Amino acid sequence: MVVWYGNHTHFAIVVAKANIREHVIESLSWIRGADRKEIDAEIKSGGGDTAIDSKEGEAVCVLVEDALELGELVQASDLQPEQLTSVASLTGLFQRRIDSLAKEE
Amino acid sequence: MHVINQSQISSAWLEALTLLLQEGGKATHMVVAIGSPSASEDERVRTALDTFIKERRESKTPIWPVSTVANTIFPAAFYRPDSPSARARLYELHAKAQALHKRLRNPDNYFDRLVAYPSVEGDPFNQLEYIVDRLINQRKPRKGGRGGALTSPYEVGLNIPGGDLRIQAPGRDRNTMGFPCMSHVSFTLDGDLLNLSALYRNQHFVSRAYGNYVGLSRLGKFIAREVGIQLGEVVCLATHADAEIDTFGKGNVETLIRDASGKAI
Repeated sequence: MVVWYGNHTHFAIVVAKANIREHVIESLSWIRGADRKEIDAEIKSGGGDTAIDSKEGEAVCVLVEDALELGELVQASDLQPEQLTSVASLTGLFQRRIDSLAKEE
Repeated sequence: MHVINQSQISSAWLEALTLLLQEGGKATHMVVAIGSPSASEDERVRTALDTFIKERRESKTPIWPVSTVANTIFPAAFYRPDSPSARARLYELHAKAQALHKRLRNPDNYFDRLVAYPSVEGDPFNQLEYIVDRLINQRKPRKGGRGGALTSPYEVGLNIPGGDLRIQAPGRDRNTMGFPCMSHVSFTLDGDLLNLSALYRNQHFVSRAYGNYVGLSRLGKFIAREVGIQLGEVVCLATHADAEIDTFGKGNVETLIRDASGKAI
C-alpha cells in the first residue's frame, strides 16, 4: 500500500531523509569545485563533520532542496548563521524540515 | 573629524572604537585607514569581538557574526581564484544563495548591489565586472607607449553605475534607518596598487565595522587579483560613527575594548 503525505509518498520522504547528508556533501563538493574525496577526507579528519561558511550553507540549501524534490523546505528562521555552518547542522536542518513536512501532511 | 591610521584591521577597529567611546559614543566624520588590509588579524581582538557577539546572539540580541557581516560585502567562500572562470563562478554561486534570500527574507545586501545593481532601465547591472574590465583595459599598454593607466576614472557617483560601485539606489532606498548604510566604494589606482575607499552614511562600530573592514578588504583583494595587481590601502569614512552604547551599554563596550586590547581603559 502506498501511503501519501500530501503530494509526497511515505517512500519518497523516507528516501529523502536517508539521503540528506549525501546531498549536503555532494552540494558542498560542487560549490567548492572540489573532488568528493577531498570533502570526505576533510569530514573524516574532523571526526565526522566539517565547518562550512554560512554563505556556502545558503547555496547548499538551494541545491539540496532541488535534489530532494520535496518543495521549498528551508524557512526564514533557518537562515541563522549557526544553522548553516557544518555538514551536520545542515543535515539536521533538513531532517527537521522533512519531519515536520510528514507531520503536517 | 577623527582619523585613525593603522596597519591592520584589528588595530584600526580597536583604536576607532576606543576613540569613539572617549568622544561619548558618537562622532561625525570618522576616517579609518588600514594600510595592510590583507595582514593577519589580531587573534585577541577578533576573539573578544566574536565572543561578545556570540553571547548576545545567545540571548537573542539581533546582531550578526563578523563573518556574516563580511559576507554581505564579499562572500569569500564563493571565490576560488585558482579555479577556472573564478569570477563567473562567484556570480553563479551568489545567485544561488540570493535565490534563497529573495524567497525567504529581505534580499537586500551589499554584494547583490555590486553584482546586480537595480539600474534605471530595470536590468541588473554587474558593477564588479565593469570595474574589473575597466581596470584591465586601463592597464593595457597604450599605442606609442604614451601615457599610462588613469588613476581615478572609477569615480562617478551621481550618474549611472560604472565608475565607482554604487550601493544607494536613488528612489528605491527610502528607509531612512535601514539598508544601505554604505553608499559607495571607490578605487584609486596607484601604479600596481589598487586602493579602496568606502563611504558609510552611518556605521555601527560594535556590530558592523569590523565585519565591514573584513568584507571590504576581501572585495579589494578580489578586484586586485582579477586585474593582476595588489591591494593597497582600505579607507573607510563613516560620516556618522556610533559605538552603540545605547544598544549594548557603555560598561559592556568598555569591557569589549578591555578584552580586545588586554588593557584597562
